[in-house]
Amino acid sequence: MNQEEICRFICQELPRHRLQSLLESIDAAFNKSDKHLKETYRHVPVVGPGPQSHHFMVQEALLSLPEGDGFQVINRATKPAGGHFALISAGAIKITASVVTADRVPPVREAKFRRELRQENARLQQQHPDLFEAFVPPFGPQDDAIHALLLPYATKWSDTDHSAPLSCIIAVPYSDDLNSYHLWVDVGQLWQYYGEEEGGLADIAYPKLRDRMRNAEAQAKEEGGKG
Amino acid sequence: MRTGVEGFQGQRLRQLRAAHSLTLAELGEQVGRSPSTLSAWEKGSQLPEAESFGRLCEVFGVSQQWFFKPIVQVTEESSLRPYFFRSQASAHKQARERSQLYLLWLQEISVFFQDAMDWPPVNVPMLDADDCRLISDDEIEDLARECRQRWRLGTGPIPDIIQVMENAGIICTRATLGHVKMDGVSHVSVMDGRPYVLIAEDKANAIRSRFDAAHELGHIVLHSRIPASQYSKKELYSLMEEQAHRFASAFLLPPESFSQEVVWPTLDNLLSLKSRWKVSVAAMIVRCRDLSLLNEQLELRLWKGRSARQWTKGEPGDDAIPFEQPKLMTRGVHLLVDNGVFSRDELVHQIGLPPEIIEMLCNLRRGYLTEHSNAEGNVVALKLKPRAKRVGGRVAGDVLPFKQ
Repeated sequence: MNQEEICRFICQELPRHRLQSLLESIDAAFNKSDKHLKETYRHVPVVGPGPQSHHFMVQEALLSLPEGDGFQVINRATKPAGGHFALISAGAIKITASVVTADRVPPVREAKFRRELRQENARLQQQHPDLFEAFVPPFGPQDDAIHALLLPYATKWSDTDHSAPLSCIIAVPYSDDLNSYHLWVDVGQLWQYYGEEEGGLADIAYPKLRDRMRNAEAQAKEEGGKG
Repeated sequence: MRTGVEGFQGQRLRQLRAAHSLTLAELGEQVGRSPSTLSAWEKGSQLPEAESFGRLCEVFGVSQQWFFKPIVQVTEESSLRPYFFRSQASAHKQARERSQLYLLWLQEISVFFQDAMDWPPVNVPMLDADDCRLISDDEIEDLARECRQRWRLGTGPIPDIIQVMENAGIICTRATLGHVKMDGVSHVSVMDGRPYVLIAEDKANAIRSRFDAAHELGHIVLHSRIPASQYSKKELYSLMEEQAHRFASAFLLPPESFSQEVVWPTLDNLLSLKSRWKVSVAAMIVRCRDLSLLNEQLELRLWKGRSARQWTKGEPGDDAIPFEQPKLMTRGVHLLVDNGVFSRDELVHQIGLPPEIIEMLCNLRRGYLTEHSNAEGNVVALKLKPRAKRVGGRVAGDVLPFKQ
């Protein structure tokens, strides 16, 4: 699948008004969080509480979205347990949102202890399969589902205004590689694919023959017939 | 006492000469009369004699009847309605004159058609303002929104501007003016109170042509009640052009939806929106400025970037969409011809203009009015070819078996 096909697929599964409300709620969450931060922290630099506040406010906003027509949002627990995140299901797409700070790439490190734990788990899983729960898809089994990330970018936390996202990226990550993406585009680029599906304009520009002309024609015919 | 063809309208001669861009001397050479005589015919102080009259019809390819049609004269100052030209400042006077003439002829054809049929009713909100200086930007935005609401266009991109205008009862045409600096002209007719729009087709850019149409729509909505005297003042002319521009931007790119899609106004992002909104990147930059989506510094950077990418001569995607075509006049002709109200010959004769001009103004297929009439008048019986002689012992047309 190329990027265009993925964009079309997303637009097909996620109706235009749903995407609009997603973006609107993220905007509103940013605004609310920014306001809250400014009111609460006068001395403490927002670089500490800011990212968390924005993250939770966005999650809260997404969880408050109205459901229906194949659009659903659940509050999913992380594994290992300890956190929660909003998981959106729209048709065959699952969407999660993460706030990313501009110019900062979150480190995805291959730490030694993680690598060792993974190797250990792989060994144990073969010997004690009952220790590991099989993965259960949250919205039931789906073969053709894709997972998309919605990444609103916040301005650097050393800046003062964080009331709106700088931009919003929609990304579809590789399933086995955290650094590679099938799709990485500004969400604005999705709109053009909705355009293709929009209905045409009604054509009502038709002239009408005047009745008196029709009458005259009918009369002429009658007279002709009589003659 | 004047002698010559009685009822000859000198102004019709003036119109035709202007449309063909002929000087009195050039026309005089073709007709075989002096320029001063032609001038006297145009002014009405003299009338052409039968021979010269026939020659005039021949030179211009019009029917005799054409020269007898009086031109609607507006005597009251308050009834004078301006012709709004969308053109670059350097547009030639000839181009303006020609476009105005074409629009006037379009009105005459339309009024003639209306003896036999009705166009869709005019459904355009027209601002009741007689001074353009009192029209604010907010008012323009509101009117653009009202148009969208009245015509049920929602807040998304408009697939076909000409279609929208024709749906609202505006008569549109596309015409070749021979000057690339002339974009369009519009006028609310004193003959039937209906708006008429002409879009120049000299520029091969459908995106620009859409904006031209929306600009003319802006004049109709905003300036229909403005007296012609205001439009002739240079400073007010510029103001009205800016207002029509603002309307076109607001109508094509409504703030509710467009600003939401421009998350971050970069050239690439705007270009990605171009195919959806069918509006040039340049117009989108202006719209972003109007909606305060970018500051002065960023705007300047975008203009510089656009220039550096050499988009000033032509942007990517300019030729990606086909030209929007007016259909209403074409449908009018077909309605009259197909219902037997007029034959194609009669139609040309009654209108009086050369068939190719009628075809252009009514957006008819080239040759629609002439080819058919020739065919009707000169029906040639076709003879069947004599049976082919035997060639090589076989009759032509025999089926030969394939070799296996």
